[in-house]
Amino acid sequence: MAEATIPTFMRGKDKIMSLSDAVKTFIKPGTCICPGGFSYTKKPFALAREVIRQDIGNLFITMNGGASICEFWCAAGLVKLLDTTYIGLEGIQPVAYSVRRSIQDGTVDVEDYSNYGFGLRTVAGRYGWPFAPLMSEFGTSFMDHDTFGKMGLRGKKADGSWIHPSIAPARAAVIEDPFDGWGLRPHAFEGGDATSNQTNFLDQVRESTAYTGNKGVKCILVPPILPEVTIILAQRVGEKGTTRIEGIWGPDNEQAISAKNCIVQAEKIVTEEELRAQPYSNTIAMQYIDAIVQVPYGGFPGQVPYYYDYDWDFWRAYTQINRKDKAEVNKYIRDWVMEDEWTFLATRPGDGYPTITGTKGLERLFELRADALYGYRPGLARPL
Amino acid sequence: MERKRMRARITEEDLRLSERVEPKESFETWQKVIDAAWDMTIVAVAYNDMRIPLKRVPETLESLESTISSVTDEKTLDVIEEEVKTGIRHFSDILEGARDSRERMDRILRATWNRRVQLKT
Repeated sequence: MAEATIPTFMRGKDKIMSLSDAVKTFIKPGTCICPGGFSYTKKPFALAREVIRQDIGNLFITMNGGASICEFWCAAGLVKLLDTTYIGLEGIQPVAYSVRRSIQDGTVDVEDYSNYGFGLRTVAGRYGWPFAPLMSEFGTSFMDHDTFGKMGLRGKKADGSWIHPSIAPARAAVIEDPFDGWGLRPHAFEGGDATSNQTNFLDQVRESTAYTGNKGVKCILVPPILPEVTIILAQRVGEKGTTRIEGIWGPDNEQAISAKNCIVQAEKIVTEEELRAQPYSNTIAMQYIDAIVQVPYGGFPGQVPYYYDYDWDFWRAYTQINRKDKAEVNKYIRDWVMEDEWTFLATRPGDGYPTITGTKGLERLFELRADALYGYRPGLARPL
Repeated sequence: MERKRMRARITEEDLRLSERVEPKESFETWQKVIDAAWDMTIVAVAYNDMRIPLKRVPETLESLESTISSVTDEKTLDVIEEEVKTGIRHFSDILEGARDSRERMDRILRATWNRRVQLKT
């Protein structure tokens, strides 16, 4: 095939970039970023640290599943808008403290969806749907709030362009189900939703006049997420962008495809041929990937299934740090990331928190190595 | 004892970040260590997927072997022959790759021990 006929995304190896160049090229002040991964798992922390090093502020974060990256960015004072669901650090700190404090003191404005609602938004983004339907936010207070609407960020400007290209003109919309509840898995409703509960819930739904004033089944529509940049972490990425994720996918596939641009942080860049041997095992096709950065261990202090486990001791200490004075936390996070990723990886693991062995740097990282038979490290101490 | 110490409250002293120190080992050396570790991991993960069927293959082959004496059609023997020849090709590749890697691992362990002795003297 002549070079000229090869689509741009398939040409050469120009998607492979340094960490610093990838961030400089795609992330600007105010960019709408969608961090991938789930909770502590497969979070692209190297890219997140580079954003802090380059001090790119005023960010708009849209994300599903865990707040660990957002926590660091809020600690560094880089976030302005947050479109999200649950914002905790899982078991170690149920509400990520820097995120919570930034919302409470008005530094960050937050739009909140249920986990399911947000998940559907990512699915809509992936498939190019104009919206996705759900019912689970009915009866909750989600429907009463619209932060971005109140801020005047929704809708169009006088010239017809969107006020914010990554913010939908409405938080959600309610419609009457044109199929009258036909598709709501009737076997789960008709005659009761359980053998012990003979209430025909669907009949009650049909009688309700809530939300529209009319009787009948209603449905909430939520808009897709359309981030400007999605950042994800994958174990193996082909030199042209084919991405193979092993272990939990989280919302990575949907979020990568929803975005205008996607940067993938790879544990290892391999040949496309290696990944084509089992094409059905690949997660994201090359045309959705715009930049590839190779940072082995770049998921630290998080976990990358089969490669390394998360550093529990770090998180345990960090949840003491992030409760300190805001300026002190900001200084800590900026000192913690150091001047470049290699210096960081060679120095910071095991530094500034107690561990059983007291090892630091790469030696500490290798203590976190996962057993490939399990995907994690059995026996890793997780004291509370 | 160590775990008890870990459960103790983290002190302010524990949380202090160190001053920048030059890494003792070079970036290039660590890159090579990680590169080899990640490649061995990729193979280990793939092996994990075939671990159970691989253990099953000797049993199914044994069962096939015992059936050969009762085959009545020569065309069946053709099929068996073809399947086993394909198996030999694939399994020889696996064996060759595994043997080659395993030998190198032994050499690395010897070299590591030698280097350790040199560093001590």
